[in-house]
Amino acid sequence: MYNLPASYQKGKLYYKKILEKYPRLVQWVVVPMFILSGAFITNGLIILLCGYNPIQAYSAALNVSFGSITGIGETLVKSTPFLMTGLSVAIAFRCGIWNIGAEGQFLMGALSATWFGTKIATLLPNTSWIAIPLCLTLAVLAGGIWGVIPAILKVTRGVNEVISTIMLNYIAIHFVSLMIDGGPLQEASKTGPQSDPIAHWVSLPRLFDSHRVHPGIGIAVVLAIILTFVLFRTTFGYQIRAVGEGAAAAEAAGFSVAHNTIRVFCLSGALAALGGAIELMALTPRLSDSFSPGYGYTAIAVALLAKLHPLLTIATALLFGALSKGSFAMEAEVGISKQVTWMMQAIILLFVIGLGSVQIFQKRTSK
Amino acid sequence: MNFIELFEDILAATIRGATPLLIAALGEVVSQRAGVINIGIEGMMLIGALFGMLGSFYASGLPFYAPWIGLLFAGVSGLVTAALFAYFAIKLRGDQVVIGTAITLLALGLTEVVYRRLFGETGSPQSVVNFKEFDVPVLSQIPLLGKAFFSHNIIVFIAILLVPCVYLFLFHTQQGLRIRACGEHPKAISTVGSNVSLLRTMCLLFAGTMAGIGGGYLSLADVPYFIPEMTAGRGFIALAIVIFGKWHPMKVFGAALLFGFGFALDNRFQASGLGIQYQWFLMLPFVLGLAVLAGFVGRAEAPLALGKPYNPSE
Repeated sequence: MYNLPASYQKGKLYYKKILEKYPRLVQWVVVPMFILSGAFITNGLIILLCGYNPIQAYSAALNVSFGSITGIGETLVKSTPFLMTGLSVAIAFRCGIWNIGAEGQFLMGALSATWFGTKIATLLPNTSWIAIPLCLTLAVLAGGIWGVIPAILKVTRGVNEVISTIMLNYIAIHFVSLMIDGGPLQEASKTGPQSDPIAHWVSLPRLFDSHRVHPGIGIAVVLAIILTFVLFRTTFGYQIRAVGEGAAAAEAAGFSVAHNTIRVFCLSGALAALGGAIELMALTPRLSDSFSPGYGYTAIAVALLAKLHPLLTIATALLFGALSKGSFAMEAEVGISKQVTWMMQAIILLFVIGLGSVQIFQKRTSK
Repeated sequence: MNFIELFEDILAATIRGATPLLIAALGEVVSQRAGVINIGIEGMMLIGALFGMLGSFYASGLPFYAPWIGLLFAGVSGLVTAALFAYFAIKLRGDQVVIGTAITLLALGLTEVVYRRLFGETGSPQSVVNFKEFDVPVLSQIPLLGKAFFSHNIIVFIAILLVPCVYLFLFHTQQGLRIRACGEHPKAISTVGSNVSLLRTMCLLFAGTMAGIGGGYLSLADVPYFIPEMTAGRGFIALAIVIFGKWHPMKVFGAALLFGFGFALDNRFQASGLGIQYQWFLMLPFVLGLAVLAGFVGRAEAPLALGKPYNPSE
């Protein structure tokens, strides 16, 4: 299928002259900045057409996201699920695996953490040092298993992973609903469709009193660094990239496509699930139907804007975290629905496709 | 409620619930047969739902025509969204999965922003003139089945009539053959003089229009108002239906009924307090869809060139 890194290579042709002087600057700064400013302007125009003041809206968002220590802390907190799911998508897309299932994997991680936090933790000694690592490990396992299902279906039965992961997302959504709405994980009082809060010794502690910054943010950043190392400095990473660039060539070089598909799907699922578990353990002690506002889908925009580079994903996740935080200010101060962030994400994605598209560059260079 | 009433009620609810899915899925069958996987179907339905409601709202001076004008708005808004999809997917040859995700996100944001701007958030949703159910003379008097099959709004009947139309078009016309060839082997059909990009664009526009109308059904017939995110995953369900129906209009009809049945049971089981949780019925079609794909319940092959951008100059 269409491969983003390769198309950026083609983009190089167009920028050849500047590139010869500052190749990295164009590739990593100019193009993303162009995408972002284009998206902000387009989004601003739509906001304007709807009768709001875009400048007022953007400044309200910026102010609340970065204007104070508490705001920055909140932005970091909001960025964490975007980073975890973004990494999950980035690593899968790198291997040429179109994993649209981060949403379901995220939920399964949260569900396993809920199960552990409400049912198992009470049987264990009351210590965070044992409970938290166990809970995170369980989430990794749950996500790995949920991720390996589409991998096995793809490898053994040739099932397109786009379709199977979308279906698995809905199975996960209904499964979570099954568990917390009438099922065994529903709160003891049986009043609403939500679970009991997890035991406090499974919760991730807050690092500061004033805002909700938690150690999960650190875990996510460290994982991004590790993944960068794995992707660019190890044989496993080389295999992932080789399979992603061309399955047939990789197979000819002796790398098993099937093997890598299973490994990477497993890893991708585990990352998303870990994100779900961290989100639950650090922020919302209860699992409810509205737990994820579509992190798994936004993750696609996060990863593609970062050009599938784990380190750059930190930056794009931060941007989406700030947007998400800022959208509340836009709603409160300017009156725009906070779902405007979805529109923003969509426009960023369309700009990425537009600029990454092979044809534009080929046309211009051939003139 | 006695048993016969319950039976009639569930059967009628199945057909009503299946209709928007069926309309959207029929469009999707055509576009997937042409090799374009339209994941933006959810977004197109949502936009259709909003514009359908707006059309009926602004035409409320003409109560008889209002729902039809709404439906027209819904179809056209779906068509425009599909045109945006086509520009990126066919003209720029971007990845269809990413474009589809973008379209869905765009619709989620845009519909909410526009709706909130026009009607605010406070109070109950703005209601509009909608399609009314009517009894088909004579036929609706048939005992047991009459009420279930012949007491619906007009769109339900149109949707069911569309099934054989799409089937005949795809499998018994030359144009249909060309479309199917586009999805299997675009190079071959291009060699014999067909314009693959044009055919795919047309199919995509058809799919968008149908998705828009399917969405419009939700705000013009199912309920007489729009609420943000009211499609609630129906677009993705339509996608599952296409696969479960093995890319065949007749089987897609059956699959839509199965999902409609799931919805019908969902509403009734929540109230009934029986031992089985309703979520099982919501999950079942997705599990069945996966099983079909994996070949456990009859093998289904996706069109060979599905999701692959076509470059005419290669």
